[in-house]
Amino acid sequence: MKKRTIFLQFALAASLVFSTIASAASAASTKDIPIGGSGQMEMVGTIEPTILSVTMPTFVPFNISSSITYQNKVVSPRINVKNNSNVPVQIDVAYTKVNLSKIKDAQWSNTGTVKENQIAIGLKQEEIENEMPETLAHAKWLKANVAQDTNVMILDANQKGAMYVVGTLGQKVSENATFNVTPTFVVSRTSID
Amino acid sequence: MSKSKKRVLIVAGIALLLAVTISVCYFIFTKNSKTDLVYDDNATTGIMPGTDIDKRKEELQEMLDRSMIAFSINTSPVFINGTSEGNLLIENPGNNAKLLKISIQINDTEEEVYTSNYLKPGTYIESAKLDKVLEKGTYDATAYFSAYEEETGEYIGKTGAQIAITVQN
Repeated sequence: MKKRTIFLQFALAASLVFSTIASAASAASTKDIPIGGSGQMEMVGTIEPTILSVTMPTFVPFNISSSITYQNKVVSPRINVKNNSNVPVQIDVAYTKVNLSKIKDAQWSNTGTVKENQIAIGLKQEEIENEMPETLAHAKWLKANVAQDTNVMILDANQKGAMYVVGTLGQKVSENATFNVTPTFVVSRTSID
Repeated sequence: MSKSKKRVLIVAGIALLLAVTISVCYFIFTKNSKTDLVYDDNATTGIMPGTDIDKRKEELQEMLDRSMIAFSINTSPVFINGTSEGNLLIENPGNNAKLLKISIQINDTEEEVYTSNYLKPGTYIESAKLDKVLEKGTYDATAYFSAYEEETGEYIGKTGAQIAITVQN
């Protein structure tokens, strides 16, 4: 009986000693690492440049003829534009060089409405895939030899788009000549929602 | 003068005369063919009635596809001062198959502040100095990319990109 009491006393004493050590260790750990501290760590932020990356044409050939039966008298290739950037972009026409000197008495129309001796050329976004527009509705008209800021397309990041040349000409415009229309496309990070 | 010498001289003279005649004719005819092109007044521009419009569209598409270019540029290059290099990051990708030449113009003044030489496909300019010294400030500018045939150097066309140049000091 005496032996049993001694054993119990020893066990109780041992458990008290170990529990005190564990408690002290726990308190010491909490004290060493203050909550929210960052010590000497340095944070370095780098601003990555925004790269504009696009694929677009530098030259747009087209034919125009009054013999075409639709409102749109232009045969146009599909003008493909691809935004390879990680930001949305817009495509604008900044300037259009027009030379009608080889067509006698012909004049340019900036509005799309033509008199009998006028020509109008514009751009129109694709509405039906791989089909040239038949009408001139929603066309953006090119202004001759003056600075302009006409948006023709907006593309999200990594998106493709397509548009066509459209146009019309008056009845008295001679088709027995060539003329040059050279729009300059400018791409930028979009500021249009 | 011996007979054989006379014969040699005559043959040489005839040969010289022939050479001169051929040269003169060559220059006259080649000059005419390049500069005096006579266009037929009877030819009509436009699509010949009965011509397949789809076929014409295919031809135009081929021409347009040949003029396509890809390019990359930093939209906001930074220069520490007016004479330091800035991170233009202009690229002519390897799949372009065209030479590119870049010109940067300030929008307000139309002053050209940078021109590159030709960039081969698969090359890029990481940083460069401007050709004109700009004061401290931010300038809206347009970078024009002119494309040229890689083999012949023939001009194809140009396109542009809006950028904002920052000069810090």
